[in-house]
Amino acid sequence: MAKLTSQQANELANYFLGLAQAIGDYRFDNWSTLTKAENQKLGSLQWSILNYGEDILVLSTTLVMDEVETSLAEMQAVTQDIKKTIHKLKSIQKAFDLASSIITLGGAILSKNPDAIGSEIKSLAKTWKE
Amino acid sequence: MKIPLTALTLIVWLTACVSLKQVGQYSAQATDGIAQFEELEYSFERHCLDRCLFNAMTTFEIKRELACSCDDYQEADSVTSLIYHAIAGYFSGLNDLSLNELTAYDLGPFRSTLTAGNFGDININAPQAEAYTSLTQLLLRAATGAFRNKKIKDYIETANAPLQVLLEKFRFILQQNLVNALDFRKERYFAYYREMNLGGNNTTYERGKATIDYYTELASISRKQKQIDAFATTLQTIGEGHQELYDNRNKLKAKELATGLRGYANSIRDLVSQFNQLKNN
Repeated sequence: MAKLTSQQANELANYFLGLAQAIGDYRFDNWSTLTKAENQKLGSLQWSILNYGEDILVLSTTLVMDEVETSLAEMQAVTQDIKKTIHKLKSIQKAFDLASSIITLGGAILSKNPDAIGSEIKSLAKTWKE
Repeated sequence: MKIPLTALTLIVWLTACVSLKQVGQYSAQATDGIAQFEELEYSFERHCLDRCLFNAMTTFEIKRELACSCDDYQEADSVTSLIYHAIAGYFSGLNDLSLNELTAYDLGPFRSTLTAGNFGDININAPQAEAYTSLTQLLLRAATGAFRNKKIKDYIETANAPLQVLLEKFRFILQQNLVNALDFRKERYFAYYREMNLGGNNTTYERGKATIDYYTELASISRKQKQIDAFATTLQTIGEGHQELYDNRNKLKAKELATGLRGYANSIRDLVSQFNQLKNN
């Protein structure tokens, strides 16, 4: 698999921001029905996604790689889908799984391992579709 | 009608002076525009420290020292700073050359070399490293006197390609990465204040106060983003001006070039003024 460019890392960081916003919106929209523990866990996961997104922006500044067009297109599609439909999510467990998948993807991006990035994007898409 | 040789020489010299004066004015404005970077008062490290402080505030964590791990953010600043110094050095050199004031030129900051993939942990790709090296070598040659007024054309010609690469990278880092980092900061504030107001432990007055605080923070971040954006626009205008200079390098005496350069110099001056207004707001 090809590598990331700084432009693409920047785009990935923006997806992380969008996903963190989606998780946050889900949390605030369901504020009254979530237990305290669920609420705190979701808040903490959202915070971690924001941290990863910012770290990826820094990576975009210091690291310049090659192309990963396919993965980016997949990532874009998943992000748009999640943002559009997260408010319909019935299970809190799925929200946790989703946030955890996003965080694992963040780790793969920061490890600068293109194969892991591709595989984690696929895993994120799978978690969302399950 | 015969024109005496001395008069002809004087006319050629005066025309050359006029065009070089325009190059001088453009490069002086470009130097001022680039120098605004030092007035941004925002960097990746600063962003990291703000995030660290914010995290401590949300968790009420008080330690004897605020422990923040910002090494990657410092590296990002180092890359940005290297690019900044290379560009600033070039325009300062161009300005000195056009005014023939090279004697006081300081090469100190540009002696370090940057090569692809080996600047600490920072990965710089080959064209960017080449761009930086070309510019620094050019500055060294300029200082040894190989390039003077008559050679300014070669100077512009050699510098244009690496300069455009570095200006684009610089603009990208600031406008795409640093400005976007501030979007993350906005989201943190949004989550923090929403949580505070939904929490139910605050009085109506406290919730109202929190709302005002949130929008004040938001406005402050937006202002910083606009300031960085204005600086990035200045970089773009500087690049366009230099491209015009490069495209017309064989007719440096042309009136059209002088007019074009004056236009770019004026645009940069206006952008500097816009930047300062945002800074003072």
